[in-house]
Amino acid sequence: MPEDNQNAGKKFFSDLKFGNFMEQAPMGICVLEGEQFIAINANDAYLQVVDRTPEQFIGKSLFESLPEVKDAVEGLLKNVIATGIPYHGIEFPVILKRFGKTETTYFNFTYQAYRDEAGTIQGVMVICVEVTQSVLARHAIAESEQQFRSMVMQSPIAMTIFRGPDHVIETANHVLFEKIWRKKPEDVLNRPALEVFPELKEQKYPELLQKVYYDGITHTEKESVAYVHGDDGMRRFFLDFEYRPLFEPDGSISGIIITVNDVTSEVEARLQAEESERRTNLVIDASGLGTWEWNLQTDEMKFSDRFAELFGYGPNEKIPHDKLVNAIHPDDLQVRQLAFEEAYKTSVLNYEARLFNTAGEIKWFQTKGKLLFDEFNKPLLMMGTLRDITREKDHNSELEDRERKFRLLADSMPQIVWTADAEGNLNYFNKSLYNFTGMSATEVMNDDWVKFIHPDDVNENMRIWKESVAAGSDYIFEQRFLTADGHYRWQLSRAIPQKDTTGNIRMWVGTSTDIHEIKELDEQKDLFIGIASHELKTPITTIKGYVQLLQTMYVGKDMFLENSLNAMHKQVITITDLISDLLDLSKIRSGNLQIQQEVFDIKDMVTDVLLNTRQTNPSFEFIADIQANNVYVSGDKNRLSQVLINFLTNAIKYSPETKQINIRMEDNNDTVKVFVEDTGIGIGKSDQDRIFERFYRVEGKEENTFPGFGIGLFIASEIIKQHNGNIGVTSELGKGSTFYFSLPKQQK
Amino acid sequence: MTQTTHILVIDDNTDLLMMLKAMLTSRGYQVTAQPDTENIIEFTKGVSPDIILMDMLLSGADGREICRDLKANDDLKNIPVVMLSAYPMAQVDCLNAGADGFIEKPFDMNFLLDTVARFKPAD
Repeated sequence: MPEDNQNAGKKFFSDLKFGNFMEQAPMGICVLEGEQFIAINANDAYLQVVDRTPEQFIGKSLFESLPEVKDAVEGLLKNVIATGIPYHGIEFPVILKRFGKTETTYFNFTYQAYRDEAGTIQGVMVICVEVTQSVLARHAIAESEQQFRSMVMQSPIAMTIFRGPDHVIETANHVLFEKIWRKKPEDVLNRPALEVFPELKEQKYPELLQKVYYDGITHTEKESVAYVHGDDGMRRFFLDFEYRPLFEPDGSISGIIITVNDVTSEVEARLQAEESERRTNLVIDASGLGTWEWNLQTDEMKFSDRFAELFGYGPNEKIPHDKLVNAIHPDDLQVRQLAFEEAYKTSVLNYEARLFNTAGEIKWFQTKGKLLFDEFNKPLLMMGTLRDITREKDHNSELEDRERKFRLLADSMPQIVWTADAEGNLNYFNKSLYNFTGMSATEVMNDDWVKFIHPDDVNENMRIWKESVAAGSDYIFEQRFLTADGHYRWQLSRAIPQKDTTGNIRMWVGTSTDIHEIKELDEQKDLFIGIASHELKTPITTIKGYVQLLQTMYVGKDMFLENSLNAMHKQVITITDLISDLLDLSKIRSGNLQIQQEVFDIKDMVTDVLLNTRQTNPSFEFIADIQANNVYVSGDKNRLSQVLINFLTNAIKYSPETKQINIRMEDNNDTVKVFVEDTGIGIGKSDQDRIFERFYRVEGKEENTFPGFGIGLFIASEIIKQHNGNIGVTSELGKGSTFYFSLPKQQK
Repeated sequence: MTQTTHILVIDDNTDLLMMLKAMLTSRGYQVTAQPDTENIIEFTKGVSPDIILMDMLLSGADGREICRDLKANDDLKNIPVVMLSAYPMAQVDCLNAGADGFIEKPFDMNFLLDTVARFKPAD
């Protein structure tokens, strides 16, 4: 700096009475004189700021030495000179060419008019402080804050800033608005958070915010549950969030920056998975299955509480694998061993064994598992389930007990008891059979059982058995079994199909009862009846002969004798009929009722019978309607006559009052039907079904009136059956009965 | 006047035998009643009846055997034999044995007389 100028400036400052103070002041000072703003002085500070030497600046017009500032300040300076009113510039931007470049600078300054002693304005005193650094720094901050905001707004992570102790929402990004708050910015921004979201008051968040705001310690939390009431209603969120205090340069806290990561869907998915696992576990627990997992490479064993419980351990107890193995019943270790060998081959483990639980009780268990191999085909892991089957085993042994009891019961019976499967294959006999036949179980079961059946009965037995099995109907058959000492004894065999709930046959249960004695007695009885009946016939013949002879001698001669002989004759005929019936009965019983086969005109038979009946019953009126001619049937004429006689005899017997009987014949397509209709006492409905049974007689007072064995209709029914015909009755009490039989017609 | 028809009645039951005799006699037949079957062939030859009426079951003998013997005898084979039995089924056997008629016991008097009358020798 040239000495002269310095001196001039000093002189000026001395003049201005500021002296050294100005020279040493930290702010730039310069004095501009006149309308041309000639710099008459400037201190070093000023010259340094504008990067000008005193030679370049002092004594020259301001706009000559600093032309770049003319636009910015000329007006201001002229105004100060003209008006005398000072101007204060704050952070006033000025473009300066200094230090080799053009730059924007900022100044705080004062333009102050100065006057001469007369008070006339002489020029302007400039006092300035450059504030470029601080302005630029502030601009930089603002800019970075702007960038930060923009970053926050764009962030995929929800962010917001709460300001002040009331947590006024200053800003928040789209994600937060759209995904979590679900509110419009205008309803939210610049309002206290708890006013916008009153529901938060019930939750932990206000307290946390306060803590962060006052303690200045960042708070982070994962998967925190938050309920937020948006425009579309209340929703539950799982949020990872951070409350970070916002520090001011002075260390004070002005707000909280909040980042929120919505992890609701992940957490819900996980919870759902956990829930479904929990349910699965519930199911497993409910099923009573224990689960286990055995790492074969580390020998590490994992299992459920239920698994431990089966061994008698409490939940969460650590049990080494060898301890579990040692609990298995020694007798069953072999079973386990084999099961594992199998599992190494098939990768499926399945076995049942016993274990001793910690209380020393024996428990049956069933374990099922799967063996997993690694990529080198080395056994890696085995996992499976364990089920307590003690009760089932007990139940099975109960079944075995029952089975034993059944066998014991069956064996203790004198009867032969046997069973067969649904197809009729015999699969069980009780001891009685082996005792009876002297055969062994193996012999009998080798289908040799036919050997003990009488050769004459085998075929019929097989036929009836097959029929029953096919039809699912009861089997009943009389046959002879060979005893151990070589005699045949009669057996009555019966079998009943055992059906399941759907009606399918599951098995057959049969018995064979020894009826040998009964059968013999029955045969003897039939034989006796036969013989006795024949033996009766000879004396009857004699009596009958004499009665008839005497009748011829005394008719019309002695009234008393005639009547007596008539009565005797009638009774002899009754006895004869009874004997005849007894004989027929015994024949039917023994299957010896013989039917002669001849083809004859049924009209002839009916006419013959009617002729005889009319002769012997002159007091009755028989009205015959037998138009059909040339109707032939095949069979035993005498036996069929017997049936018709039986019908007529009954009609006569039961029509003592009306004495009128109708006989009709009906010629149908394939059959011929003969009716005998009386107008007598009739038969009740319930008796009609049973009247053809053996020894059945209608109950009632009439019974005493009409003696007889009640077997006539039974015999008639048997005879008609043997002719493949039908027999029946229609009747009404008090009005009469109609008996009929029908027979298949035969071509002559 | 025709000659009286001679009937040989053979039955071991004498009551029945006497009844038959009375019945047939009442109708004008000449009756020889024979309860015993010993030497019956020779006996019959001696009697020389027109008709033989014989029970099928006789004590110590079978009427059917006797019938066969009679039919096998040239002197006797033309004499009609009517057999009596309580067994209606015996009719076939009797006819097979050569019997000419069969009457089931007990019988109706008229039936017996009709049957016997059928075998009266023609005049």
